[in-house]
Amino acid sequence: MRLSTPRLLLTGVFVAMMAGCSIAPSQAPRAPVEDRGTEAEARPSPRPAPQEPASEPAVATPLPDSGPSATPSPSPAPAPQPQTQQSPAVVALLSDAEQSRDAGDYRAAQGSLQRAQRIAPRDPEVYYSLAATHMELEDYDLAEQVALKGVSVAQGNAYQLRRLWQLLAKIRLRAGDPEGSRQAELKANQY
Amino acid sequence: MASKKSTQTAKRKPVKRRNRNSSRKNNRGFISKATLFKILFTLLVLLGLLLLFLDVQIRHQFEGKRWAVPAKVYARPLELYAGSPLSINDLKVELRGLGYQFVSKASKPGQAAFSASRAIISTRGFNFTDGKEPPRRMVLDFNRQGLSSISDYQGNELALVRLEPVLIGGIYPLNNEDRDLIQLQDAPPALIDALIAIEDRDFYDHHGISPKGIARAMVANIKAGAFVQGGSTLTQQLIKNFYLTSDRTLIRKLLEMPMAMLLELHYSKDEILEAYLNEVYLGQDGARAIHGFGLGAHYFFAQPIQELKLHQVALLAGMVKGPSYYDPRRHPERAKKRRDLVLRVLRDQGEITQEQYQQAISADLDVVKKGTLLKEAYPAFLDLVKRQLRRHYRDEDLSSEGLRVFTSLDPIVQKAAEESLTQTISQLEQAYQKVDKLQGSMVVTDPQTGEVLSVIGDRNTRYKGFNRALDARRPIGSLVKPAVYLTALEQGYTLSTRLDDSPYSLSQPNGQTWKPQNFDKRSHSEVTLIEGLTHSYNISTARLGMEVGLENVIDTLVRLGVRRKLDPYPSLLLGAQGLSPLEVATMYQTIAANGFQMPARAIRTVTDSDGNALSSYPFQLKQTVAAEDIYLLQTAMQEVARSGTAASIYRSLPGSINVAGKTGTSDDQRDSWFAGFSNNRLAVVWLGQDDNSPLPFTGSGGALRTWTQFMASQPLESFHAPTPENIEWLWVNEDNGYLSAAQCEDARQLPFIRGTAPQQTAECYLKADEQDDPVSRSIDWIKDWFR
Repeated sequence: MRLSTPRLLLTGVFVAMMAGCSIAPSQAPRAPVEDRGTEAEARPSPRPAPQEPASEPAVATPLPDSGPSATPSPSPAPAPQPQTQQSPAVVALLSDAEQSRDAGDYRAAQGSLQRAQRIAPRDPEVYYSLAATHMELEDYDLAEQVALKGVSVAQGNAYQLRRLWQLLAKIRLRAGDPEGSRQAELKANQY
Repeated sequence: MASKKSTQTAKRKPVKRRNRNSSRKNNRGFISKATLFKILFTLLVLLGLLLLFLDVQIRHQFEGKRWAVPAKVYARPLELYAGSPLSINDLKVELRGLGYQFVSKASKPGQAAFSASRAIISTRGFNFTDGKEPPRRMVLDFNRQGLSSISDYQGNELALVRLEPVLIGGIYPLNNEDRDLIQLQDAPPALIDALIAIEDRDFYDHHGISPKGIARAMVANIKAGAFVQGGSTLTQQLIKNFYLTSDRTLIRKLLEMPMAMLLELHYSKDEILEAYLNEVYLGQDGARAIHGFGLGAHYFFAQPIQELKLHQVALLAGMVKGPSYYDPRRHPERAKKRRDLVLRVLRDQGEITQEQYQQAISADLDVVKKGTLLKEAYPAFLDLVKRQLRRHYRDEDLSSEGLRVFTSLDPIVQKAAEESLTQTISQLEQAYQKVDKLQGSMVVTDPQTGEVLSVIGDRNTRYKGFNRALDARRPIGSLVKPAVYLTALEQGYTLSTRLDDSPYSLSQPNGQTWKPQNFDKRSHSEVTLIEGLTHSYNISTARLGMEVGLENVIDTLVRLGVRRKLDPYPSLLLGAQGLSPLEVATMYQTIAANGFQMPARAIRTVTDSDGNALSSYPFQLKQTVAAEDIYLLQTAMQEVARSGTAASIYRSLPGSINVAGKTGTSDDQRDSWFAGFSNNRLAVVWLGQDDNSPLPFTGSGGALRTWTQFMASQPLESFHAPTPENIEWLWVNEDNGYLSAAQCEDARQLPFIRGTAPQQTAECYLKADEQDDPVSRSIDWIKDWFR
């Protein structure tokens, strides 16, 4: 896409640098932090949320004639291809989050990713990473919804859509929904 | 009989006297020895017990929790990064709120220097839950888009820096004491010097009471012929304030001395001094009592205590004697005199040089105006925070445990919202002489995250009374219509479906007839669905709502986030239901966020006083409306702004910015509403009068003005809805909704869910379709948007 190889390399070096200077997650044992909700989640929605908003509209319509013809899809690429250039701030926060996740500090990862989301709320990568973090925290409902939000902002970005549906397949499998997982897998294969 | 009696009496008397004499004799001997000793012993034991009791009390209170420390509520920290849409003026607003000093050379923490497009700031640093942000000296460069680069003073680029968050409020205990605890080392040495010099010269030498001090005070009082000086030591003052506050009697005075001595026995001078610095009373802000020099520094100078200069600490030290009498805001002359006296004493005792003295006495008081302080400046937002907190925390914990509450309030957004609301209200009052008690409220959120950025509950934005943003439930008028149209779209209607706008009346079970009318009092026979919403036609909406079913419309409202119980009356379809601006914001947020319902969040994290996270309020969402249906609705709501009832928006906003929204006017024009959003801001505005009297303007004549002025002040991102995969854009005839083509007359492009394209075709459709392909059609449409 728009990033040339030297630019990608530079970004890589920058990520590494940022990783070096970013704040290391606290190693000290922490008391569990409670997630607080507001009434909105406490009350179940009266109608089940559509699982696959992109493919199951409420109005009865024929199934979409699969991705490629519906949206101009960029060719699949082996390396991450952000649709728009990520700002160094978001790169730094994503890198922080990854480090925290590797260290098992999912709360810290969540914090970094929410900061990233406020800066780049339309970056699918942020939602991918946040959904993966919620999955590790075993909050599968939220992980699914965050991944779906990622799908919603990733329209037209086949690379991210494939990753997000693959992640959804994983989330659903862990949540004990093999059928949903299979459907997500099929969806991922469309991209 | 009488004589006999008297003889008997006479006989008896001497006996009595003798007895008495003998007992007195015996008693005298006993009192002087055993009894006196007993009494003395008892007294001593009692005194000992009393001292023991006092001792236990003193130690218990001094070592246990000494003060109820109110929870501190913070605004969001400003994130600084290259590419941020932050203007240099926005930065100034934020730094002013943080009490930064604007200087020509920023060298110390809390200072900033500005040129036209560059700022050099020296930050204070802050301990966030997720890590420490160190103090830094940074160079920030701005261009027209915002912050273009940020680097440290050595020239190294910085990817991301968080400023310290603005303290916006506290949650106080019942006695309304507010304080910011400091440690002794935080206090500028000059403050300690000044305090000791003016209040207790022998502090480091006495054992709690100072005979020298008392003697000096007596001499001074005799000389002056009046009470000019007290002999109380700092320790005694601390005892008085700390343990004996409510009791102003002789007993208190008698207890003060032994207690002071006991305190000195157990604790070091430094510990006593630190407690004094935090306990001292310095003034009153309404019901809130200002305690301690830490808070005093913020309250009078809007600065952390470490940054205070000599003339400022001298004023604080001087005020201890009479915080109300020497209040520098109410009695600046008196306060200055007192401050200069403190400085003179410091000079005379050799604590400061003549030069320092001269410089300090020539300085102004430097006290900030009360209205510029951001603490307690956002009562409506704070109210929302408190309500959310009280679901999980007890009042006593909130007011005493020193919790830290990190919120999403954006002081820069709030300032712009306040200006927009107050200015348009005054303009409207000038334009329409009839209204003079116009009120307003406003809620601003980030539609991507669901965070509440700003809340206004009264036109007097600092008024701590009725919070209209949360508690004024007023009929929402046409703001309800998107829910009616969404219900229809979910049932298979399309944007080009034709709706009946001919006169309509409905007999209701109570015998009354419901006869909705359009605002222009005309009916438009048939209109397309998108037109019905764009022009907010009441008749076609009412007919549509009855067709799709009231219960289904209520179900849609619930899925959009309305939590109130809604009654299935037909008038619901035209917005007879009352909702608060916050409820409307929640509802519109689901539309803005492509069908994902998100709770309106005002709190991000709560930590204990050491910064350990107690609870977090993560980003939460749940898709409750399908992306395709929301996409169609969003398209229609953008049309409201482009060509409908809110078209005046584009007199102020550039055409390149897409926004979507809806005007609302309740029956008899009692309420003027607008709710709408861009990609990064969602704002709901309500204007009306508390006595519910009619307004001389509609939603677009009133609330929309506020909304537009606010949005125009913001770094707006154009609203962009990602096109769901099974949406196709087709040309249709705008009058009859038939399938048409680009070249055909009266053709417009509309999105359709695949398979729902109009079956009927316009006359010129077939020919035109052969030359046209769908991709170029879509591109044409997008080009049109930006034209």
